[in-house]
Amino acid sequence: MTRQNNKEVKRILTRKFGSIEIEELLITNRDLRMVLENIYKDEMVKEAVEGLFYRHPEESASRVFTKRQIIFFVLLAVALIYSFIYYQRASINFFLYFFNLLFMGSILFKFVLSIIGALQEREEFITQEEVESIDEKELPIYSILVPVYKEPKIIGTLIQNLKKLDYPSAKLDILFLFEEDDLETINKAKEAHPPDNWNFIYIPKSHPQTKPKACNYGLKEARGEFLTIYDAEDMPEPDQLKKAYIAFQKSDEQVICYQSALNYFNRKDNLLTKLFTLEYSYWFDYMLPGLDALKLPIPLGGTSNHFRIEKLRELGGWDPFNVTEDADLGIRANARGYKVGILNSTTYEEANNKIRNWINQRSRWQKGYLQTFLVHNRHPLKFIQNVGLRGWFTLQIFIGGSVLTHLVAPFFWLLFLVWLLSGMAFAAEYHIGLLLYISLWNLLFGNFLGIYLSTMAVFKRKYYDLVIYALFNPIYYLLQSFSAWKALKQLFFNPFYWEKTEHGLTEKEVNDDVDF
Amino acid sequence: MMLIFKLIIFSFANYFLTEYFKEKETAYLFLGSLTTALVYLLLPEFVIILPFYIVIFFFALDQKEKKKRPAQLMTFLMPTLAAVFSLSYISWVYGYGMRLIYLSGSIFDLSAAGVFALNFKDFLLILAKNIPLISLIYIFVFFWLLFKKTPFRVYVYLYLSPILLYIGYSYIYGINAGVIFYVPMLLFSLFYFLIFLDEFSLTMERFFYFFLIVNFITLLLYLLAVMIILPAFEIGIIEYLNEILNPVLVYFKEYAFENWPGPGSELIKYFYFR
Repeated sequence: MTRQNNKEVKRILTRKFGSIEIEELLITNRDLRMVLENIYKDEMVKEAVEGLFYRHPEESASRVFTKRQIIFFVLLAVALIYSFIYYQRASINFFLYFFNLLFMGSILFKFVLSIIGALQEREEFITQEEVESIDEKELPIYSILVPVYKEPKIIGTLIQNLKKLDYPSAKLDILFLFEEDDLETINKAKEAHPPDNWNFIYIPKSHPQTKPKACNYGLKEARGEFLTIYDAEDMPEPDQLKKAYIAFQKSDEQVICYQSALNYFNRKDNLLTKLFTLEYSYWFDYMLPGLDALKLPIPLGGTSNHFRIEKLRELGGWDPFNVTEDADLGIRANARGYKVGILNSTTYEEANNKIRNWINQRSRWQKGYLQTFLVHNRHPLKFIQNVGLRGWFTLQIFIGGSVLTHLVAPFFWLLFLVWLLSGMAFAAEYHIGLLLYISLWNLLFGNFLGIYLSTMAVFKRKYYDLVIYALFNPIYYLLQSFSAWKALKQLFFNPFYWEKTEHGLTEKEVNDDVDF
Repeated sequence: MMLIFKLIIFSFANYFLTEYFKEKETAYLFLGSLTTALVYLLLPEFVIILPFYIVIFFFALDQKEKKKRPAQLMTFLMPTLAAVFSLSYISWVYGYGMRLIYLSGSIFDLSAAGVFALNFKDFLLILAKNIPLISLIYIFVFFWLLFKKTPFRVYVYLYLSPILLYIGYSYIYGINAGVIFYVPMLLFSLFYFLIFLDEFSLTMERFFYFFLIVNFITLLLYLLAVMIILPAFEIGIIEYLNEILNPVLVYFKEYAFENWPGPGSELIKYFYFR
């Protein structure tokens, strides 16, 4: 860390401790890191948990609802109950109009994004020639945070995947972030014999036990110019770091993050993984490029987002209380005037192939979306000032609206089914005039478009055999609705609980379906 | 909605599809397929030429990637099938039965009563009269496509779709659809020009503009002439064509129409064993 007989160090120590006898020891970087961790671990945990809250309390999800929001929702509830009692017909009409228009707006917005995203399909932001022409001496130190918790099954594979990264090993600053009580994973990681310059960081047990807290802890120790995160089951394309480096070189300082595409290596496992792959391919290959092209806020994906480390620290890192800290960070960056870009590189992950596990994961994402929606709607006018009306609209439709539509969709399907089977007059009585046309549009065209757009997902990656499975999307919507309700319940009763996604369930070898 | 706007939408649908076949950009496939479905909704008569599109899709798609072909075909057909289903559903809900193509009543201004009784004689007469008009620019681009280095790209046949729609439409309604179908043809030529601009030489480009201007002038003159100057002359042309075409039509009527739904044994004998 420092040369022997460094006068400056001696001066600082003397000023701090007075004239004491200083014994100089030669230790490795790792030892020093461990010593510092041991001494300052309480402060570091405190900073990781409360840092954002102390500096920017309005951006932290540690309070689920602010006082103003509570007052607003209470008043809204009272007004709704009152109007239901005294103006029943008008209230029902209002509800039907509101949700029908929301459905309509949401699907049209997705349609526009998809088409614009599809128009970018063939653009290659970073070319292979650019990657090959890099002078490796110029490459900066690149930090990689790898938060892992209870992943003994796949930690070995992860280490092998990270070894494949095409980046000078001396310039890789890989930090495995273990929970200190997760001995099984730690031991398995040691058995995999990672290179000596990769670091193991043990995070003291504290509340909330979330991935963003671990990442904030790791961020303190990261020494790279750029930083990225990989999850335990990730298999990034080997040249991803180089592409990200070139992307940052090509862009202005306002672009502080690049999001790589995520996709699944075990898509052929079962119907669920096929539908999940369709959804992910559609999201990362079409929707996000659409948002990017329109310069709208981009909710980041969980991993493979590459940051300028200095700007990430300035933003305050991740919100440890938000269970989709990634999406929140993307929106926060935008609200602070920064931009997020899309990188043409893919990280392959393991798709959930068990329904219960999938619901756990999805409900966490939807709960996180609700948290993000609430946090960034605390000061709507200020938010509009920062991101503009289009950005605000994106937050409402894309983040809040997506959960809300999943929450109410089952009631509309049920209403339709009951009407279809019984021909009850109640539904027909309200569906007249404009509302009838909007409802019909949603029923016939909206639902169709939702299914149809997911067929788009197969084209970029040539997953043509998945196209027929798009027809099964209504089943997928039902699952999403179920998890949305679970998310809503948790938002009130267990807001910071991190629903752990189990990995290593697939029997597929990671390289089976992926060809780099 | 006025027929002219429906035909313009039809032209856009074909433009997107042709653009997709040429550039292979997924966005155009989706826009083309959705616009085609919209054409169906606005102009259900379109369904009569849908099989033509399916054939084009089947042969025009990438032969090397076998799995891609059904995926593209499905993507193309899904919106139109959904539109067919949607109209049927609406028809059923309103008590008109689960009709696949036609809606009785006037929901969404789609009332149509199929008569399927075209007077072929009149049709051919008026078509013959319109040919000089519609051929100018349309034929120019058609020949250009035909004689260029790779003329047999299957999707080039999309270029024929306005003519097919014109015939189909006339057939369904038992009337001649008229010069209004000149609109999609003219638009098609413009779109094709835009799509293949990179393949045009400078001379061809100048030729195209020349034909385009001539075409517009001809259209104006034609309308002027038909309306004001030449009604008598028009009658004369019709009579003359009538004389030429009459024997053919009589023959056609005798052997094809009266033996419908298929050629009778007498017709087969006449052709093969006389």
